[in-house]
Amino acid sequence: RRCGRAAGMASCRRLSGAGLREVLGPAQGLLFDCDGVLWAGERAVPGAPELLERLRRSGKAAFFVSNNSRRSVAELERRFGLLGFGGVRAEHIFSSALCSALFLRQRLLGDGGDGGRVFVLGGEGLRGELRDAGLRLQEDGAAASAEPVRAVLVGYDDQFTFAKLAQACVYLRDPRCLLVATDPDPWHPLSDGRRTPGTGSLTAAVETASGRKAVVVGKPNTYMFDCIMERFSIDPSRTLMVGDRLETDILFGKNCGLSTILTLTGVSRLEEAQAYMASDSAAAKDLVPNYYVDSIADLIPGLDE
Amino acid sequence: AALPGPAPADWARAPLDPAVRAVLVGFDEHFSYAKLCQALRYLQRDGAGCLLVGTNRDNRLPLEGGAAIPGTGCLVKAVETAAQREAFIVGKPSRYIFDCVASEFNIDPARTIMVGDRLDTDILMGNTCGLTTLLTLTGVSTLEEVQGHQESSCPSRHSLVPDYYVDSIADLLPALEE
Repeated sequence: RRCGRAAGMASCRRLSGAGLREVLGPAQGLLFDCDGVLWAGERAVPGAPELLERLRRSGKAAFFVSNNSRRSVAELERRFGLLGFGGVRAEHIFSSALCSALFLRQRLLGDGGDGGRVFVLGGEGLRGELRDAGLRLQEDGAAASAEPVRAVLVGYDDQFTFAKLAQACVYLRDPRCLLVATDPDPWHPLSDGRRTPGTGSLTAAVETASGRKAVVVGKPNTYMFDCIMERFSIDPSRTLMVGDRLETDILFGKNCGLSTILTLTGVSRLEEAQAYMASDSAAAKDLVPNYYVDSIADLIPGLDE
Repeated sequence: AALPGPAPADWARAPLDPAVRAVLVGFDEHFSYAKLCQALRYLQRDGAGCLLVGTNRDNRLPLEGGAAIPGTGCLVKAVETAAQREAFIVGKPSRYIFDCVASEFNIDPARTIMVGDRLDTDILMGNTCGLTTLLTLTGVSTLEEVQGHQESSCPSRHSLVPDYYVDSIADLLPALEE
């Protein structure tokens, strides 16, 4: 569906020196994942704010694509500010919460949709985005309204319970009720190296109970890129995707026809990328980034003074 | 091992019980994100040194009138996905549970019948363990599903086909009468 760069397997080359200028020079814009790329826990990755500033001065666009469905765009915008990233505009920020709201608005309230409420497994940040998009929510434990529930949305839900899982299944018995997930992430890293369960693990429970397969809005699926292209005109062949997770960010880049850069300040290790490269499976090869850097600060020398 | 306090910050910070060597997932109507978190912490702490065991994979438990509640299989899948590893399943269709019975009692599979209502647990286990299998139609699985498996070109689905079926186990009585 998309015209991308020339076919051929990505080879996970370290981006440095002259290579940096060759790759960054022609780029019109960069898409960045957030967690593990711009910041880790509560601290900005050293040099990341300067990189964004230098991109702005070079006239290159920066967009932010995050699978994290806890935060609304407004909360993310505040976070950018708090962590020292100046001048990041809300319209450049695409979270899976926002894109799930856009997706559901399209399906439920757009042409051919016949309305209906959304039952959400998720927190306030996600709920707020849905309400802002004009969607009506079925609150947990509230009496059924006359308006039927036409979508179950699974997001990051640290208040997930068996009771909510059972309730979701009741709604999903109606085949007209959509099952949507904000993202597929099985776990997220905490700043001390431990892991917290992600939306993917909750979605697996709902899929198993309902016998249905969820439509996943977030990376590596391409819907979030469609949302970006709806607002901005982007040439995929002149755009780079920068991320820390091979199975979501890098595959997303590949799926959207973008060249990809893995940064090592987050989830995936270089050894994992190399293992995918050595694998015989075609699917594994799609997880290999074109390039890698230790941190996105390493990209700064590739930009004009 | 006890659960720490109600907030996410509590779960991440509370000390783990050093004696825990296994996470067991069974039917739990009080399953919560907090418990899932705690399970993940134990599995991450010890890696292969901590067992991950599930009692069974049933995806739903039917109620009257066609409704159903989520089964243990959903909770097992949630833990497996978060931990990115596979659980050892004790219950049907795993042969482990049959081996438990067979080791306690002298059972000759060739002279034993497995009677069940679910193709993907009861019948599959019976077939895998060399038992004669009998489907009763008073529960979950239907004859249409049996036909689907029979006609499938996928050989593993043939293991879900029972040797015999009855409408109800009461239909067996005449064969046992004096």
